[in-house]
Amino acid sequence: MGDSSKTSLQVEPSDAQATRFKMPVDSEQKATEFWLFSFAAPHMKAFHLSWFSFFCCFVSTFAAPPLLPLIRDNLNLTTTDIGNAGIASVSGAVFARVAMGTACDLVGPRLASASLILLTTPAVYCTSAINSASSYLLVRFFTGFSLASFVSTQFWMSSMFTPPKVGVANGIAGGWGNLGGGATQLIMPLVYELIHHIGSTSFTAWRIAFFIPGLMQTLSAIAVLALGQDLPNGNYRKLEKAGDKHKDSFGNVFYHAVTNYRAWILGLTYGYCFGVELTIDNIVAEYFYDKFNVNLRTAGMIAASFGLANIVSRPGGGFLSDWISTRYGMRGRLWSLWVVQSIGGVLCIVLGLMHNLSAAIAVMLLFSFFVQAACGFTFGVVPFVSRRSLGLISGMTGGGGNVGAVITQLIFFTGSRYSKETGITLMGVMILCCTLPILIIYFPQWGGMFCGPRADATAEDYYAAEWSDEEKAKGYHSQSVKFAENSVREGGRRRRPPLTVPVEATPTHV
Amino acid sequence: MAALLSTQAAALLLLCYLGPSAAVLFSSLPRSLGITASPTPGQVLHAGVDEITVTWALNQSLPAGTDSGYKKVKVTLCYAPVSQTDRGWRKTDDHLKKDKTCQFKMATRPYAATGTVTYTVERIIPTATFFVRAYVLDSDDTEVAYGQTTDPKKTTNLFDIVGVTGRHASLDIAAACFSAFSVVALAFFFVVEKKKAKK
Repeated sequence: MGDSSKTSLQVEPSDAQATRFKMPVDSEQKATEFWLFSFAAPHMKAFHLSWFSFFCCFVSTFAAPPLLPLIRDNLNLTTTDIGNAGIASVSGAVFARVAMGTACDLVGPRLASASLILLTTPAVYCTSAINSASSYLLVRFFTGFSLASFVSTQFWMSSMFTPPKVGVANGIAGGWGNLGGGATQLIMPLVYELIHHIGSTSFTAWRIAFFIPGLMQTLSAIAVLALGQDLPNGNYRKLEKAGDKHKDSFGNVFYHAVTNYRAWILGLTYGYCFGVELTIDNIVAEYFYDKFNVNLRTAGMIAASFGLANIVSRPGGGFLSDWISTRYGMRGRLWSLWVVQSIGGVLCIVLGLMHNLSAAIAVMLLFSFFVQAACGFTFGVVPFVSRRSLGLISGMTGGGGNVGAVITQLIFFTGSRYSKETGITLMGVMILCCTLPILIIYFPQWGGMFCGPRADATAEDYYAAEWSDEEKAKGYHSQSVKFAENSVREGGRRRRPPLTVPVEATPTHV
Repeated sequence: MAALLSTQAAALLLLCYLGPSAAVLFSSLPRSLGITASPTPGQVLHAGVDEITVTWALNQSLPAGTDSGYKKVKVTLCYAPVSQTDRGWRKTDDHLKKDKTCQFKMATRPYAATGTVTYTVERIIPTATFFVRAYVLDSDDTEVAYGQTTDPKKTTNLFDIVGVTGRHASLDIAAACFSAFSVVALAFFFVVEKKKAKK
């Protein structure tokens, strides 16, 4: 079958069972393996489309910081202006991520992410036309909305990959996307130098440079629309028309997300791994420049290396989360998340206390590995919190990440209350405190950090509880049941062989 | 033995690094030159267009032979305090190596008791308030004296420069076109999707 040549614009077969895939799949048609260097449709193709489009969003959002020495003179900015714009760049995505989660639940990740990315590219292009502190703040604010495409990335991966592989898929997609924050510190100065060399004056060359991230964003979003599809069996609209997928309502999705306490805890803790990462992206170049008197290019390279660690650190977190769950199940995922993020907090405290350049760089690199791995570990847990409201919960977690970035920048890095090194140390203390709530997370069917699972609880009960009896009677929760069956391994090694599902509880499949 | 050698090498390197230019403090420099610059107080100059003419002269009241070590004169454009507030990258520091007040070199000339330079304001100069300062350098390129157009508190005789915006009509048009293309592309895909779904 010419599956790899099908695009989303062609009519999908109405009989979902007839589709055959290059990759091995489970009962939900999700891939059970992850082939990094393959473009096999639809699973790996979706992976590459989503991580690259998310990467482009990060490049655009953090395109300004490496060029600030020019922009601040061109626009006559003050430190306060720069700080405010930095906060604005990450605050837009707080609500955008939550909204994105809902959009994914309702219209699918492909349309949701492409719409967001294409609608924010005007802000990137218009950065070339700004002429004041307020216009600078506005373009950074609106460009920052594109970071919400993180949610669609995670949602898409959770829709395409089976639970044992979802950690590594989410980790690499998220990590290689976050990579954009580091890559841009190298890309933008390079593009600027090139344009300046060709002949433009400095104050024009940086403006032209912004067309590069803008174009990258536009083209990657068009690729998502043309080449991607929401689910292994097709796109939302087609599946809904064919009756294969029930069209859920915002009210229900919202209710089941906000009443799940685990979503709130994960949102808070994500603010202190990912949020801290965003804060560091915004301040680290200046920190090394001021404290150690390195020149701007060196400071930029150090700043870039923090973000570049994402190539392996976040995927490593996702991979380790999956690996630990083969042995210890969900309890292993929770423990490892808490340990890794706490170590990140300790390293953050130490970073602020380093007075020697090489020691500071070494600690910073270690810190980057742990804090980014913690992000990977977090999204090893998120796909299991809810099946019905997966998108919104991914959005709440992602939004919480940005809230963390806003809060840490506001408290520790605005104004001159704390020196930057004191701010970094105190931020480390806050990481330790805000990671503690993970101790409270408890899944009845798998347990929590300190408590084992309840003997009579099953994954099926947990996910089916999100649907009312009438909805269950209509079979709307069929996807949740399949998911529950596929996530039996989260019980850990001691729970094998898997629990058999009592016959009377098996629903009629569509 | 090797340890001893390596510590000696390290000490030498450290000395070379610190070198003779170690910790020259601005407050230690004598104000030997009298400087006048062509802009009148409060005048607004435009980058890329206007010129500044700077004339310096050795202070006659100084004893003869003061200028025996003077080799070069470096004329610089310096930020006034009003353009330094809330901008840490332009901070004044007494250690000249760390000082960021005077970031733009207008001209460097071999030392003479009097001299004039004319400088066209470059297009890299930002919008800010400035004064002119000239450093006298010795043969090691270390600052040994200075002169400036303003008083020690840097409040008098300041002038403004308006920098180029860097904006061009072509850039604005290109930005508008690319933005429109992105939005239209999205609309196009939506329409196509709806048509396919209807089939």
